[in-house]
Amino acid sequence: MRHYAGSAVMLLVTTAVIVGSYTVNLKVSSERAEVERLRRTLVADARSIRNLEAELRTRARPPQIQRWNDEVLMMGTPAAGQYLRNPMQLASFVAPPETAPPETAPTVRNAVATPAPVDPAITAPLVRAAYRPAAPAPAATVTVAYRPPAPRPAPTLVIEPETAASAPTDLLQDGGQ
Amino acid sequence: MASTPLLANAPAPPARLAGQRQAAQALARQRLMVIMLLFMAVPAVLAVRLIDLSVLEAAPNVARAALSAAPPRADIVDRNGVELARTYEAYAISVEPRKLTSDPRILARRIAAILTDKTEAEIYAELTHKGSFRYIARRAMPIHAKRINDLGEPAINLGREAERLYPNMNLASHVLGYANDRGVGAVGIEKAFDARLADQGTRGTPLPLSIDVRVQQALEHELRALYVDQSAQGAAGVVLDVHTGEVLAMTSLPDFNPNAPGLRADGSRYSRETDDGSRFNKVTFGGYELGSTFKALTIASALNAGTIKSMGQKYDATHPIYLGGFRIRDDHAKNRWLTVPEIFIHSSNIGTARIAMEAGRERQRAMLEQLGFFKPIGVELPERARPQYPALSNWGDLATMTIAYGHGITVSPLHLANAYATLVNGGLYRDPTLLKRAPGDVPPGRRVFTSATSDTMRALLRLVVTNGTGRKANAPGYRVGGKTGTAEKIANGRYNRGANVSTFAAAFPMDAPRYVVVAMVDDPRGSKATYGFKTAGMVVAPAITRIVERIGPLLGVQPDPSKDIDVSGLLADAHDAPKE
Repeated sequence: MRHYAGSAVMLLVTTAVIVGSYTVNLKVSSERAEVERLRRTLVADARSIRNLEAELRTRARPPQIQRWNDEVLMMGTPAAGQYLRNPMQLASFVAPPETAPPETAPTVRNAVATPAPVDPAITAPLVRAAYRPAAPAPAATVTVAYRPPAPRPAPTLVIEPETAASAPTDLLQDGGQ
Repeated sequence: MASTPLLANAPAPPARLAGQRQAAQALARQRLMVIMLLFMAVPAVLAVRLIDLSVLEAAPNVARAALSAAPPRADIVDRNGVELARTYEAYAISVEPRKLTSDPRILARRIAAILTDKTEAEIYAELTHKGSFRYIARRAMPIHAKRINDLGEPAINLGREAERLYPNMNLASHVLGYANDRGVGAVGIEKAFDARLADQGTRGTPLPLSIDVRVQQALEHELRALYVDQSAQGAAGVVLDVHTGEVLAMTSLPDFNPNAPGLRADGSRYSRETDDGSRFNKVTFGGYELGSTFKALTIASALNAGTIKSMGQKYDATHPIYLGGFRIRDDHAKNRWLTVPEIFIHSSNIGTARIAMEAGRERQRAMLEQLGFFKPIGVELPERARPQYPALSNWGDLATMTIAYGHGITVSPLHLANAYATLVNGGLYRDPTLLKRAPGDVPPGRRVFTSATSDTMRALLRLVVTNGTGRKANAPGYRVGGKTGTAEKIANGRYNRGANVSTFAAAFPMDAPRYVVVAMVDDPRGSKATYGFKTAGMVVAPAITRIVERIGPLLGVQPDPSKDIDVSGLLADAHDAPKE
């Protein structure tokens, strides 16, 4: 009996090894098939890309672009004077900054004068953001420099165009300085 | 006892020596062992082979055709990688007429409704053909193929075939040529590099040409405008890099569509009577007497030889030269002695003839030979013309004088462009090429002119454009230099005074030349734009301006009106400006 036991063990071990190896084999085969499938997909995609490129290139061919230009855009070659030789030349095209006009009335006045009548813009109920021309800006002429700690009206955020003369003033934080 | 005699007669058993039995047994055992070892070796060999097959040779063959993304024929691209020719899989609609199930007449009508470029009769003829396989259409659009498939006729097959596509249509058609139905190059680069394009090892890599498609388009567009405006027989143009010999653009008009070779734009076929020579590349395969453009070469040769010692040297142009029954005269005769710059800017035939005579025939021949004017131009295209020139025995004084101003010798426009490149690049000759050259691959060149000659010629060529016959080529800021050439065409062995070949050979920028542009119009008829003139200065020079203004920025040449080459010294003795 013991004699057979050894053989049986051998048989079992061999079978296990065979089955195990076969599983590995199967796994490798499936992986390889997957790689092959992927490669085929890649090749098919590369061909599709080539075909699409062919169409794109054909549609965007230079003679066609020339025709569009001749019929629609009508752009010509730039003249010699339109080329810039250095950055200085480019900078020279920029208009010199306008000198700020002498300020007749300061935009923000520090005053302890009589409380000014409340500007309707300030009493507006919501926070407003508005870009306004730099020219006469009545709303910006804030004369609410100092006020008694009365109930404050709803704040108005006025965003002026960025010029040196009218830097944005945050009324909420500075409280009119 | 009958057996006794037998036994008695039986041979006696061999006498056994002592130990013989043991020896025999040992031998048998040995043999048995050897056989056993052999049997054991067989599985070992099998195992080794199995391992070899499964492990060592297990790498899948990636080069199989079905799994390769490489096209069946290599693409051709320009110097910036833009496709000029490529292979794509188009639908081919074929029929097996014997297996047709439906009525061919009805089917033909239905197919003709889909394929509008074919007539019903043509399709019917294919459907009822006696052959077993016929094409109805090749290069069909996918949408048409689908609609034909929807007809449901089992005898009609839709296959995808590799077709050569030239996406830019006529652009650079003479350079590219085309491949035939079997995918074999028939003309142009397709023919010259057929083996390289079809080779399995190299077809995955595109073939880069020296052509720049933007420059090609600019040259072709401007020349076509000229060709149409002048109702000319043809036009040709080439743009060449003077330092590398690379051809950036080459065009010949009329041209053809390589996608449908042999067909006109309207789809009709060329016949012997209607052939307009569109398949003929005038730049390399045409031979022309290029006229006064040769004067630059004559003067350069004399400068090189030292027969012109200074620019102030004067030559007698007081009256025409009569020799051997021929007369050499000037179109705008000055009837006085002219300096070298004056001869050049007034384009004096008489003065140039005298310069050539002074230098001599041998120097002229040597110079032309060094410039490659006695053999087909060394470019890769198979279509190259052999220049025509007089035999040595026939090269007398008259030939020396006429060749000095470009008559009596025919060369291709590419010969001329390359000679001008040699003239302005410092004097080094390089064969032109249509393949892109890497900076390290540029050949060193062969010296034809001295550097000093080249410098002087740059100034003289610039002078022609600032003060001479080529003033209309003076693209502002680009420092263009060049020379006009108006030669009469030869018809039936005689010069035809009514028909010209007008050529302009230009280079720019003249302070450090980089590109040569040669444009030629074959038989311009004059137009309103040129006030009826047919001369190169009026016809071709304005086109040179437009071409240079378009290609200069593309090629990195910045126009600068404040920069120019100093030509004032050359004009010290000039008295008057030339007329057109």
